Amino acid sequence: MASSPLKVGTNEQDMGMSARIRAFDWSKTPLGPMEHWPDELRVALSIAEHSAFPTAIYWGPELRLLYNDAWAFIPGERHPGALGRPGREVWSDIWPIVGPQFEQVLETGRGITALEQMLPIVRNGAEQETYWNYSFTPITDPAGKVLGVFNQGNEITKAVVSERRLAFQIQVADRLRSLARPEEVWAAAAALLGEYLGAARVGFAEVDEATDSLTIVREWRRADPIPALQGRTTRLSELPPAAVAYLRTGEVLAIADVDEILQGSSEEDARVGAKLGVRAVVTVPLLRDDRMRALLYVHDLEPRVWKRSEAAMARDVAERSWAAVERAESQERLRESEDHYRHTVELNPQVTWTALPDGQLNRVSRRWFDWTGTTGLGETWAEGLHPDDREATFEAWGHSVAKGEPYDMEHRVKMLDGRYRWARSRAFPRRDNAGNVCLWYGSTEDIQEQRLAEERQRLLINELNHRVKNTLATVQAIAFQTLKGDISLGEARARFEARLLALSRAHNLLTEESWEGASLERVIADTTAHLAGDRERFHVEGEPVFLSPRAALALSLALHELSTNAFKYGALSGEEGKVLIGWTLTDEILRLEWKERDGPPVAEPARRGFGSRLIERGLEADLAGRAELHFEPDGLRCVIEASRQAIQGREANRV
Amino acid sequence: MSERRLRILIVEDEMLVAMNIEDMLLDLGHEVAGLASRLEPALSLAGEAQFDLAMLDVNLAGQTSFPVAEILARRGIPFLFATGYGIKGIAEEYRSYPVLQKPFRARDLEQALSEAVAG
Repeated sequence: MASSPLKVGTNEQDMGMSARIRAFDWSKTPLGPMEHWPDELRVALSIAEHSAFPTAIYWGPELRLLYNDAWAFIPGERHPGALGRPGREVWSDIWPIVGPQFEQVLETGRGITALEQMLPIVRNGAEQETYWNYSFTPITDPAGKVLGVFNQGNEITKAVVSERRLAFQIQVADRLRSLARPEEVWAAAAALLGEYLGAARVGFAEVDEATDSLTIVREWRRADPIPALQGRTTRLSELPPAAVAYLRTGEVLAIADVDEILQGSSEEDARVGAKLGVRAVVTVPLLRDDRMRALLYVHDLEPRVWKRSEAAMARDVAERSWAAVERAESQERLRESEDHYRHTVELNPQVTWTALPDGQLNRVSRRWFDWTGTTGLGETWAEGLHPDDREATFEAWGHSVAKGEPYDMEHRVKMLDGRYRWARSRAFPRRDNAGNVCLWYGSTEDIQEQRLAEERQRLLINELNHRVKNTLATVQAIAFQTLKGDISLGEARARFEARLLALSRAHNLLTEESWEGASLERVIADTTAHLAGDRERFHVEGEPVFLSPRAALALSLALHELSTNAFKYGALSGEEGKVLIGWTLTDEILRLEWKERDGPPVAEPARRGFGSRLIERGLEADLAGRAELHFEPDGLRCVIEASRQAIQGREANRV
Repeated sequence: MSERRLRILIVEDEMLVAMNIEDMLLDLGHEVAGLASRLEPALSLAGEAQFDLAMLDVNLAGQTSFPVAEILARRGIPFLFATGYGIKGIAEEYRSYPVLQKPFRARDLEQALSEAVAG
């Protein structure tokens, strides 16, 4: 077998390992020429050469290396130079790990198996984390001495890495799922990705293209001193336009060395790059509806060749975070909306309710329970209504449900204390896109007070109308009576006005007491005050009596006539005269006496005027009693007797 | 103008208004057969007195005069209402009788009397 220099040539490149081994000049190694190799080595080599599984033999104290075709891919660029060389030299990069394992086999004579063993192999000038399953099996002589190590194994880096990636993705998903607030999501995702990639800084920025702004919302930083960006806002237009344009396409932008990229770029871009203070960058744009809405950035302080899997993982985390944030935001909105609804419903004085398209109530607010002590669901709603109102209510509701028309009904609701209160129920249908009713939204409102107020108002207005009409009839009578007979127009006008004023004063007095009546004393005072500037001329004496409105009005007008007469013709027409007014009360009767004194002599008039007639006839009717005028020579005497029951106002009844 | 002289019972609790009605009736050539200002005397007059027609105020010191109307209807004596409430204040069964809304003119009274007599 010709020994040939192991210079790389086309033929040699294509050579199989068996040929290479046979072409190798073993005489220059401790193994010596092949023809002198021991049987153990020959047998082992034969097995290796025939195995399709990556197999190597480390022989002798120096563990010189032989391997098959399947194994030739393992050492990368070290092949084919690894053949025949000591293991320690070939695997200097991983010797700290595998060296002790070889020694163990050599010393103990027992094989070992390494599973998922990480080996930091240098490939293409860069150390790589690789993973392996392999075995070291001792090759011994008949005496049991270990001559070499039989090695079979394969690389499982891809499987391990993808498993790790998967585990990481699961971890991210689990973590994000438990978070309810958008900021928590951003923060957790940044930290997880930062740890996973061993980056210096990972953060999320919210982008608003409409306002040209980019705000860092959450950021994770390694312990290394590296400036924080969180909270900063910058303009999108201040970033390198080429980078922004690239991100807008939705692609991940990975830069291994910022400085290298920026060489020869504009001064402005260089300034922005320098401001970042980092050398390696991965940026993931998050687009929705073709607009950039957020960014994830990964920064490292040193240049770094980003693996495709790393960029892919950054994108994966960014998308997961964005989805989680959107979910959190929508949950927050839902919570807000539910909270709003709950407050609206609970603080609402009305009962709010919803009903299914068939009219069945499916939700009734708590207030119904507060009112009636029942849920309002099922039969209890109808049972809460006044029996007389149920049929009309069912009919109206049935009509609305059948026609899909708004519902509006007044009915009485039985309250917890057993009393009924008027309520107004209304409902409007909500329709789906096809126009079908999908839910009824209803409310039931207590309108008891409103109803009572309306009733009171109606009565008041009727009563007011009645009183006004009656008063007008009285005014008509006064006018008619005043204008009757032989009287000058001027005199008639003066008398009419005076009588109207007397009526008006009586109304004032009654209004002060809410038309419940007036005290006799007040009636007398009001009637006489305007006539006698000097109150001394009236001597009033009597126990308190509260008159009904009718009695008060009748007495006011009667006393007005008496006073006017006394002022014009009687005791008050002179300087000395006076009027004594006194009354006594028995169980049955009020007896009031008007007596004039010290006036001019009195004579019975030839003809009775309106005043006399009003007193004698009118009081009879209004007071259910009688009134008599006595034209006594020393002064007029008027005696009025009234049924106590007929004249007493409400206040007296209360006493 | 009324064709004949009527004897009329006045049931009215306002003295001035009663006096006025009295004067109006006298001016129209009628006669006042009696005046009642309370329900009790009105009921006894309605049941026993001799008269051709009655004028009824509705509200008599808080009580309605419908019991009086009932007696009159039974006796077949024509009557009319004079009230501040108007037709709405009249009980359903008496709404076919003439109703004078207070205040009213002598002319209105005359017309109502004719209607009442005509039945």
